Amino acid sequence: MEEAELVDRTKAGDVRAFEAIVRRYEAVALRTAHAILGSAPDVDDAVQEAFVKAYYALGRFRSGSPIRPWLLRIVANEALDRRRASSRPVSLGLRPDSEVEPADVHELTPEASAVLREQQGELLAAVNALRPDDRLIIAYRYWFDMAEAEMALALGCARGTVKSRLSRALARLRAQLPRAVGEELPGPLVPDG
Amino acid sequence: MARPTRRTPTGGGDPSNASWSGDDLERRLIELGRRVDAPSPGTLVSSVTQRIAAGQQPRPWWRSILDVRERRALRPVWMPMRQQAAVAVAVVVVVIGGILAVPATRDTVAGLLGLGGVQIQQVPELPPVQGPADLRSRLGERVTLATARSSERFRIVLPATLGEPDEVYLSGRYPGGVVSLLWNARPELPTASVIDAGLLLTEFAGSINSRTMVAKLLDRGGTVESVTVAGEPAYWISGRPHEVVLVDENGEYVFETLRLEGDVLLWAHEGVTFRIESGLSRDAAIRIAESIR
Repeated sequence: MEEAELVDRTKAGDVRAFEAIVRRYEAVALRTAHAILGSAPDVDDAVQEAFVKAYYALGRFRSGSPIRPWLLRIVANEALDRRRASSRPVSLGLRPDSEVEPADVHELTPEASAVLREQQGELLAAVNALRPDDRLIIAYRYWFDMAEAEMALALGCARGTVKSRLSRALARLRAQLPRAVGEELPGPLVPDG
Repeated sequence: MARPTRRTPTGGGDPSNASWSGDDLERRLIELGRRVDAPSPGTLVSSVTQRIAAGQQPRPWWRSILDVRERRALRPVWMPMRQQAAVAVAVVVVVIGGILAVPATRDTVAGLLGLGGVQIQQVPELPPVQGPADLRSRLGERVTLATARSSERFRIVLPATLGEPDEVYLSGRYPGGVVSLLWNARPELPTASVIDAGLLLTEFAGSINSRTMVAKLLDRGGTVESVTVAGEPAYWISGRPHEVVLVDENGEYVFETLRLEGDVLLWAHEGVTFRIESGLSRDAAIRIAESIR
């Protein structure tokens, strides 16, 4: 069913239609909350809360506009509020190699793979140390591969602001990274052995 | 050792940070994204639909805290929540302007003022609201002072001149929690008509920059006076009823209001916003505020 139709049906009181919307976007919603909150028990709660809010706010949603960034904005706001109330450090983690798509690792020797993993751990530690809104914009751009227009909607800012906010986030990320270690980094995708 | 060849840095310039510059950092972030763990959906869909279904049942307790009214043009308006759930409330300026068709209020006497987790806005006319029937039922759950102290994230403080409160209420309206302390009327604490008590002190964590925010609406008859409490900026709101308005997390609409009629002293200290409502004079209220430890 088309998205617009799902929205209209939900507005008309069809909870099943909303269920379909939740199903369609739950994964990206969870990843969004997770990018802000880290691996915290709050993630599921925040997304649940956000979807319930979205349901009741849908009457104000303009039919025909894209729903994903609208939903993500509610999810992110919910997660950011919870993050503010929390003092725990953020702890995004890496999945084990076995869960990563073979295309990402098959070209690497075990040693290179270990080095890569270590570097990614460092980069992730720097990402974890960022402000939650910086982490969010980085996740939108590089992890969810979101286009600028959608990012603007999801972040609630002008399109022109997305770029500057992103580059500020990257600058702060760079500041978190160890330079000497960065110099040692091999490129992971082009093995010579 | 079969070590991968380093990709040519595209950033140029200082070679010491070439790996983290420009495209290279971006490329690494994309790679990282494939590796970052992600939560699995689990029972999310059914939890959400169950909660929506539950919303069709009688009001959850928190909805009776505030006077709730439906605005046809803005339906659906409510969001049922569990007790612990935070109602995210947000910036209100535009919203209220829109609803009341008063877009520009900056030229009014009070204009827009902000303090702690509260914004104050003066409007020509207050939106209609049902009068409060029982204030106590809107304050939240009655608890002991010890319970409130153990469950709030911020330190609950008391005015030394009043001693311990006669009643304590906790509400989950805001992410940081809200505690309301009531003192019965007594000779030096005249009954304030609306709260039917001598003094109501509300404390909640929140700052003007967070979305944990409340708006206070005044009509043009109300006055807001800048005062200080122990050297910190404060506002004395008097003269006319005002409303406390909550706005949803996207700052789009008013969904709950509570009409208050007593004179109010509002100030913030170390991230906690305080509000005294009483039948006291401005100076007497300030003296009580300054005795808070």
